[in-house]
Parts: sequence; structure tokens; C-alpha cells
Amino acid sequence: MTEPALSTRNLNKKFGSLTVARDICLSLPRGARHALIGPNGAGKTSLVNLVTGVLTPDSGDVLLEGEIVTTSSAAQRARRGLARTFQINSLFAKLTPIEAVTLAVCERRGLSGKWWRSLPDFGEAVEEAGEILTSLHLRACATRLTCELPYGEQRLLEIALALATKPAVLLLDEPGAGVPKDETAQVFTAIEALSEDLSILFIEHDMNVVFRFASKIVVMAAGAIVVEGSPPEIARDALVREIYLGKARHG
Amino acid sequence: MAGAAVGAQDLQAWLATRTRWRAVEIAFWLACLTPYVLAPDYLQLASQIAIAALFALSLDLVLGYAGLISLGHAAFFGLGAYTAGLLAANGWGEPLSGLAAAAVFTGACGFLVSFVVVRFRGLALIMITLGLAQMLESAANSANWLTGGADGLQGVAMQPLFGAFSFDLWGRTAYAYSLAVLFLVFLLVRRITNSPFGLSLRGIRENESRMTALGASNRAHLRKAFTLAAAIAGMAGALLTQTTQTASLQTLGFQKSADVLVMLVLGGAGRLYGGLLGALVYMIARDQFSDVDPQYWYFWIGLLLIAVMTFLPGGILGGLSRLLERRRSRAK
Repeated sequence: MTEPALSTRNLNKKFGSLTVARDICLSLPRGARHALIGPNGAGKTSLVNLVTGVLTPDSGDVLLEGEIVTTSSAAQRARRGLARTFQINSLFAKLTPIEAVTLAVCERRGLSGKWWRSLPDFGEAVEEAGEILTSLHLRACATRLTCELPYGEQRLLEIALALATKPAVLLLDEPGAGVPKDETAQVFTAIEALSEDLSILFIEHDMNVVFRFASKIVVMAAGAIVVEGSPPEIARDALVREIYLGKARHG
Repeated sequence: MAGAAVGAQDLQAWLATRTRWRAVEIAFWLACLTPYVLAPDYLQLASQIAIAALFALSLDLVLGYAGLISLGHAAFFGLGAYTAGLLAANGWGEPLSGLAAAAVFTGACGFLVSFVVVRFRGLALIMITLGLAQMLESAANSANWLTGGADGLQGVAMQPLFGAFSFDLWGRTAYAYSLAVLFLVFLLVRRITNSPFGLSLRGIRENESRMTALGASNRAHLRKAFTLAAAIAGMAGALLTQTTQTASLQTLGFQKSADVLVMLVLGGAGRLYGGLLGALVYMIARDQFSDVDPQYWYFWIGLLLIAVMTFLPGGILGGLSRLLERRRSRAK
């Protein structure tokens, strides 16, 4: 049996009396598309932060391809193929998309220490960055300043930056958050078109999107995994209806 | 696929246009030669401006590009000044090797300090750099036997440059020497800022946590930048000692650190030429103001700084580039 691309073993984290993670055991097989849902404050983003190394768990382990990475730094985990996007855009405002993605490609290829040759001399890196931007329909705005781009394109650039690290696991934290309705489809079509080898765990509030893209749904509440299962199973689950879907329908 | 490849070439070409030499840059450097013809009596001042510009360029690398703020950058300027001075006072008066020795020594000190510096940001970093510089200044002051203390270092005797050009009273050699060093270091820094390493520094300045999420070793990048900036600041200090044949505690002082920050912010940080232009404006303003008002000239510098910050928040160059953009978009 092959190891899951990403898994966690009994992750626990408390901030004072507030539990943000309670005995979280997660398993994301290679090539899977799993959704992480739950009401606000359920601990979804905290879980992403624990997995990526932004937060240190009080106990438990994070494993990449079966290897424990709990003590590795966030940068080390990124170099081992764990990439993420941020719920609130975390971009390089004063760089253009081509610069930002080339920067990410250079970091991955170990070129970022090179100081004696100009950026355009690194043709392959620029070409790769151009291809990533093209694949996410960002080619046309590649030379504009990031801070001047429409929000939907900034969300796509979030994904482009993550892809530039050539990840094995991609954690998408509400990729559609704040995107105008007519641009949401663009974001998710782009996500759907990503390589099938890539394992994706995404947090999303839009249930239409969740049920359309996820092969498995993990439901969190109050820092713990309440239930997990296939979309039909989750849709039938009474507890989920009560804590989440019910609320969403009425709200 | 072919379309994507063509696209990538376009992008490469676009990136290349950003690193290409522009006519205005060439004009700037040619204009730097004009003092020999237009203001031969002011070559000493011109030399001091070139040295201040080199110092500001060094701060631009850490502050403007990497985003590390320092209020103690004069520590490296002073270290370079005393290194070159002590060498010359002890019989090693050859300028170029003295300059190189100062660069290596301050670079090594910068490397050691960088392990502390890169752990902090913002106010904490300002205080730490300030503290380091204050400690060094006090140490230099108390080590009277070595530095000459408050009287300054005596007996700095420079040999002629290349064995042929003596440092004259009018500053002819001094200006040519300072300008040449400034230009060569500028070429180096320009290359660095256009490289993948320079791009990573800008990435750290813009969004450090995102750089971490991309797997970048931010601290290693910052240590490298800080070391290099320290070496350049040391060269600026060494040039001052060599061209004035004296080294004083002022080179290490808080005022020196504040001045270089003012120059850079005045000209526009993160633009390479900002520090150069800021040094030019600041030094000329100081020269003129102190002629008119020898006692309270800093009042006018303060007023100039407030005026520039109010009307041109990105410094003089930031304001100019915004003006150009507006004209360009209007033309479209």
C-alpha cells in the first residue's frame, strides 16, 4: 500500500482555553481532491497552518509521503512539496505576476542565490513561469503590477505561485473567497484542470463547488473532525445538516 | 504549445527591457563628469557627494530592496573609515589595497552582525542597529590609543593613486577616485538587483511569509545582502578617510546614520538612483544652507524633508516616476 501524500496523526493545538485542533487524523491519498468544510471558527485554517508549519502542534504529527515533518520549518515543508494558498491574498504587491512566479520558480530550482546574471538570462525559469501563467489565463496581465490586478486574477495568482513550487500536495484555503460571482467559475475551472497527480485539500464555503469538485468531504467543528465521507454520504448525514448545511440553507 | 513558447519569449524580452541601460542613466553618469569643467572649485564637495552616494547605495540594498531598516548603518561606514585610516597611519598608504582591506573587514563584521540582525524587524531592528552603532562609537571613543578618540585619527598619510596621482588640495584626484569607485560598485549593485537574488530580496521586502511558503531561505538571503551592504558602507568610509586624510568619531555617529537614511528617503528608496540623487540634493542643500545659516542649517534640512515627504511620499524619484506615469496614461 502506498503512503498517503499527506496525513496527520492526532494533531492537537490549544490557544489558552480555545482548542483549535483536537486529535485530528487526516489522510489525503495521492491525486485526491478532498474538501474541508465547517462553520466559521471550526479550525480549518488553523489546521492548514499546523500542516504547513506556520503553527506548531502541542502534540501529534504531520507526515508527508509517510515521513514525519512535524519538526521541519514551513520553508522546509514547502521544499518537500507542500504548497498552500492563503484565504486572504498574500501576494507580492509591487511585483508583476511574471516576476512573482519566476521568483517562485527560481527558489525551487535553487537559482535564487545567483546574483551575477540578470533575470532574463534565466530563460528556462522565465519560460516555466510563463507557462504557469498561461495555464491559469494570467498571461495577458503578466506584466502589470500585482496590486493593480482585479481580485479574481489575484486569486489565480495565489494558485500560480503555489504551482510554481511544483508541489505534490496543494492546500487551497478558500480559493474562491471574495471573488465576484462571474469570476468564481474561472477560478474553479482552473483548479479542475490541475494535474491529476497533485493531491488537493481545499477549504470552501460554497457547497455547490464542494459537492462538484470533492471526492471526499471532511467536516470540522470546534477544532475536531466530526465526520468524513463521500459527497452523497455527507449530504445525507443528519449531524452535518444540523451543524453546517442547515445553517447554510437558512442563512 | 507554440503559442505558450512565443509568449514566454515575449516575457523574457519584457524583463530584458527592464534591465537595459536607459538614455537618462547614461546622461546621469556623463553629467557626473561635468564638475571638472563647470565647478572645478567644488571638486572636494563633489567627492564628498560621491562618497555619501555610495553610502546611501549601500543602505538602499538593505532597506530599499530587502526591507531591513537600520539606524546604525554608520557603524560600517566608521569601521571602514578607521580600517583605511589605521592602515595608512601605520605605513600602508596604498589607497586601492586599503580600500579593499576596509571592504573585506567591514564585510566580515557585517556578516557576524547579520546573524543577529536578520532575526528582527521594525522597531526592534531599529533599536538593535542603533544600539550596535552606539556601542561601537563609545568603544572607539574610549580606545584613545588606537583611534585618537575625540581628536580623530592622526597621521593618515596616503600614497598617490596608482603611484602617480597624489591627493591634491582641490580634490581632483579625490573626486575621480570616489566617482570611479561609486560607478563600479553601482554596476555591481545594479546587476545584483536585476538578478534572481535581487528578485528574492524584493520578495522578502514585499511579503516575507509568502516567501517562506514558497520554500525560500529568507534569513540566508538577508544575511548575504546585509554583509554586502556592510562591505559597501565600509568602502564609503574608507574613501572618506583616504580623500580627507583623517578619520573622526563622527563617521561612526548617530548623526551619520540618520543622515544617510534621510538621503535615501529623500531621493526614493528601492530605486538605486534614489540614494544617489538624495545624496546630491542633501549635500548641496547642506552646503548652501550652512553658508546662509551656519548655526541652524539643520532646520532647513528638516523643512526640506517634510516638504518632500508631504508632496512626494516615494521621495524625489518616486514623485517623478508617478508624474511620468500620469503623463503616459494621459497620452494613451
